[in-house]
Amino acid sequence: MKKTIALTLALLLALLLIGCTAKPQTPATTDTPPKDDAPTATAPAAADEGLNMDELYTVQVFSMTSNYAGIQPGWFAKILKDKFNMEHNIIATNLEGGDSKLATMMASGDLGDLVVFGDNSVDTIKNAIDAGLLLDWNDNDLLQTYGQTFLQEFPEALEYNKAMFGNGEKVYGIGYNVSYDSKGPNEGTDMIWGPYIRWDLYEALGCPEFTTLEEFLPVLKQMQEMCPTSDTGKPTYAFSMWSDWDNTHMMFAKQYGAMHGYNDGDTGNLLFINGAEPKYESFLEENGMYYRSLKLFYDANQMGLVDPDSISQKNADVTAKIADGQVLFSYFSWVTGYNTPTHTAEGKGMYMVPFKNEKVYSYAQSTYGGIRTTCIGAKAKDPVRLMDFLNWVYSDEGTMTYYNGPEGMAWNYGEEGKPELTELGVQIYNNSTTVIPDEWGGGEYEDGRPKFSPGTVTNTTVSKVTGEPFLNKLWTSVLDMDTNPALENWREHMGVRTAKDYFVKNNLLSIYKVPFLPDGARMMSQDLEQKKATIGQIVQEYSWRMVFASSEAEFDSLWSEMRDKAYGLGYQELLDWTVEGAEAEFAAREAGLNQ
Amino acid sequence: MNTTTVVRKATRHGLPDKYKLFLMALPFILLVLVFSYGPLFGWAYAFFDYRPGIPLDAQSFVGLKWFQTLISSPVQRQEVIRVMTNTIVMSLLNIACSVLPVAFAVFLSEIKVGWYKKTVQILTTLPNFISWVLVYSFAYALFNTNNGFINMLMKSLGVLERPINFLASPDHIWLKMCLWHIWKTLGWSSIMYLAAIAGIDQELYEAARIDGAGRFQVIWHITIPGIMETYFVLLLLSIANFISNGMEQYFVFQNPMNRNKIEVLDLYVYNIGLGGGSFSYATAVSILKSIVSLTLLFVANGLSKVIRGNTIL
Repeated sequence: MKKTIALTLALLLALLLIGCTAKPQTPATTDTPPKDDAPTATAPAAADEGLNMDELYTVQVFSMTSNYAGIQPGWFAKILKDKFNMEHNIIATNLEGGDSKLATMMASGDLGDLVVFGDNSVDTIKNAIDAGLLLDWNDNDLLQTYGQTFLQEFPEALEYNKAMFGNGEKVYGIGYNVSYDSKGPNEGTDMIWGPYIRWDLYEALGCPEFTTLEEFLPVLKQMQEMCPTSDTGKPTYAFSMWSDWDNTHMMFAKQYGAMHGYNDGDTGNLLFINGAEPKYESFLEENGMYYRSLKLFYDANQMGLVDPDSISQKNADVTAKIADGQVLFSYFSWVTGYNTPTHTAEGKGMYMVPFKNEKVYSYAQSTYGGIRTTCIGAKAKDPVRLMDFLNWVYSDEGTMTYYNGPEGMAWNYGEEGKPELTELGVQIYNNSTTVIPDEWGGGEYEDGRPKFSPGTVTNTTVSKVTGEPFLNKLWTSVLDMDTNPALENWREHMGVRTAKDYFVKNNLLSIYKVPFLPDGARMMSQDLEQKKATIGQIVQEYSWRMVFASSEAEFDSLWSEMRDKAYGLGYQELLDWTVEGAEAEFAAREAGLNQ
Repeated sequence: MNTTTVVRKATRHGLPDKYKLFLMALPFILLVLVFSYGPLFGWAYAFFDYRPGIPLDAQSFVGLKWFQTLISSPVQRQEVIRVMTNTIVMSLLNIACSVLPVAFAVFLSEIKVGWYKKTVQILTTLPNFISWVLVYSFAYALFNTNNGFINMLMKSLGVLERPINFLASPDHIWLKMCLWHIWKTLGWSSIMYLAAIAGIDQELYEAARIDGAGRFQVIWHITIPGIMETYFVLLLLSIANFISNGMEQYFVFQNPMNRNKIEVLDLYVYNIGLGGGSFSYATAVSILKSIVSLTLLFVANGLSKVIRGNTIL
């Protein structure tokens, strides 16, 4: 009896000891540089086996831009399956913990197969490269053998990536929204910013003209009084915002800058930089744009124009409210879900209404591409198949498919090879939630759109095959077809066909071109990162409190409290560092090194 | 005679008793080492400029820089004081409320109708098993401005003209948080006291009743003294946990309007560390937290020695 007890004890101990010796190794494995085993993991796949699609490949897409998580559904899934025997499993930081998800993935030493970086990702990409988590596209001649599209069509984008991240030698990825050439703004029919307001109500008020953004408020108040409830009987507001996209500031307050030609490059460094001129302005400038923006929202709130839910709701809630007609004003052109065929047929819709002092921020078409970079993970299961896939997605055919679905489904080549919408295509054009027949993959069209990337080739780029832009809104055949009573009213009043036409015609654009920085991307020190994080939290928090302040005195005291705190925490240092970067960018612009 | 047999037995099995005892304790010692001391390795991050994904030996050693950052400027110090104030106030409120489960248990045990007593107990215990995330969704459904129950009700009664965003209001936020906490834990915390009450000798009650004691006198002179011991042990334990009042609750309820007041230490570490990417700084803060916790435990233990004559350490 005792013998058995002793034996069991010994066995238990042995097991525990094994468990223990294994345990301390866990931190060790995460700490050993993944560099060591990365080449062994990728080398045989790339060099020896070549392209082999026999097995279904579940690609782990780690995306910092996607707003969808899970397996890619619908028509694009069918293309992936049929063409590449692949499926995409999207891991979206936007939905799963944000920066903390990223940090966990980084610490685990594996970023998945495809990695898509988001805004403000210079540091993140550099960190990932230092940690050996990204694959060099030149390894085993991957790019040379399977990535001819990139070499032929986007050599400058590769050069740009090399200079920024690869010490001029290695290529770690390709930016988003790249173009064959750089000719003017990359937007399609609408700019990113408007403002967009309920046209029908505005028209009923006799279309008063605006000089400043502030002058919108009384008119919006009148609009609210005219239309106090939405389709479903909910109260209407001019502004309905959400806070979950904030980082170091209130995201909505920043948009005031974009209406005046300034943006912060999505760095979160609290500095507005002008898109075209060598000018900048701190977010904390007394009476500056950020202050005026908060003041605008404060005044609006005092007038009952701000949705009190703004602070606790999320982007999806607002999208639903807009579709329902609860929101009368939008800074962005991409939140005009109100313009459904039912509404526009009644002459209702949200359309762009400019103001005199406006200068709208715009991104130029760029042969370098934007900073949201698509990379291949160092531990990717089959880099060859990934490169083969990316090569197709960035090709002319791939881009047409990416934006418009597969040929034959929503569009066809018409006379002279110009693209035309099919019957289904017209339905989709009018309603993106149109259901797709099963032979094309089924599901709603919108759900089936590619989720892995924020944009491959800029959709306003002119296709080399069709001679027309990839974006169907800009096809000659569609421009002729695209009309509704509300839009016609708007066109007649504005004297242009599209919002973009208006800004171009009146020269109201501040066009930002991606600068080529010969010294590569700069990296922020950990000290500064920490300061930025603490300052950012203060600025974001105080901004919202100012908007919802109960009196002007409280508003002002919160503003000075915020400034004092931010400067006390080292804001000047962050400012100096960012200004230094801005000056370098201005120098690159001066030298014509921007595309 | 007896000793010789023991010695003989020990030699026959090859192991003296002292080793056997050690072996029996060993699994637990190992568990403690692995799960309580192993993670202390992570403290090393506080002395480096840590960037995730890169091995520690490739990062630059910075000594006590992050600890100095903590008190580097007056504003930074104010931030630390603000966070500590929130932590201490929330903990004090929760400790002050720790008498509520006692009272609840006492009154519950006085209920004579069996089914009613059970129903109440089940209904009050259930919230303990709901995660804070779900509690928040529940709160959101009740209080949101768009179609929240309270706002809709007040609007249809004509009390309110414009909906109020209760969840975003920083007024009385400490009290509100405390109420949510009570709602969630009241039933669960009273279980321990119910058990203690069940353990009180029934003869005491009978004797008291024969002596003519009324219901409240019985409670005051028999039930309460009977569960005081349990209460003090739990109180001491909660004082040791004073500074780690958890972050889930505050994490789900935080928004820019109320964060100033409900950002407790654990949440601050999370927001700055994982949210802001400053791992080293966050680690430094949490090391300090451990030190404060340890100090508090010793203070509480010392107090216990002075007041009650026995210690728990």
